[in-house]
Amino acid sequence: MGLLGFVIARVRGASMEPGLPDGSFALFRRRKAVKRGDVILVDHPEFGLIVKRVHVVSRSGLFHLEGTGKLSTDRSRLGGVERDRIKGKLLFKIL
Amino acid sequence: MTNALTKLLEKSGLLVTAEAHCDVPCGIYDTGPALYHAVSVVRLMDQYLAADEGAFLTRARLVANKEEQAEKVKHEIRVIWGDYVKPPIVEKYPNIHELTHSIMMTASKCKQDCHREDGEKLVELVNGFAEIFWATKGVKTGKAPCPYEPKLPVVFPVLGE
Repeated sequence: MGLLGFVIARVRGASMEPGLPDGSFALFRRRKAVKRGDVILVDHPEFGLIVKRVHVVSRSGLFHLEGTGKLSTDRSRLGGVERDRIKGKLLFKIL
Repeated sequence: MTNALTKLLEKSGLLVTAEAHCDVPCGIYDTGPALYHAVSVVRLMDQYLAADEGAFLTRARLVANKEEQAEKVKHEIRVIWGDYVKPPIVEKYPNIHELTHSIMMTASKCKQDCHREDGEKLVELVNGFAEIFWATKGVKTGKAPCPYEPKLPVVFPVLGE
């Protein structure tokens, strides 16, 4: 997935509003350090490829996720993911 | 971004679609689908029991469908129980947890084997669940045989009263 460490994602759904509304395009970069508050592209074990924000990084190294919109699936269901499931960190919204 | 450009980027692997993943709280719950699937379980059991022993493919298909329908009963009931049933309902209908559990267990039995009495019990349990569900909404219910095979009695809401 991606080219030269970059990937563009088309966001579907309203749960990352207002930053990434439904239908927006955003550029993500692989192999970037990820910390709390970063918006990331994740290959989630239950939900597939999703865009979420890192709520907190646990001591065990799991990245716990959250949405920014009111309609997002809640944190408890999103759970934590391992680093290798993170496919990119948001650089900027294209349009 | 134009369609042509997005298609080109998708083909090259540079563009992916990512779900923001929402849980839209639509608030629409109905026991109708659970009952429909429960009745379907019995119908499939009847068809299986009536099928010629040599009709392997037909029987295999009926069994597979029966299991699928039973699983759908579990899913529909689980969603109502998990998302709609709240403490005030539990207080008023204290048997709701036990009833839900019985539906899960009976639906599993229906998946495991092909005893019609298990199917009939499943329909009756879902009927009981439906009566409680509609009562929580202040909607009266009726009970009558469904107008198709297996013609088992089913609970339905009397809307508009």
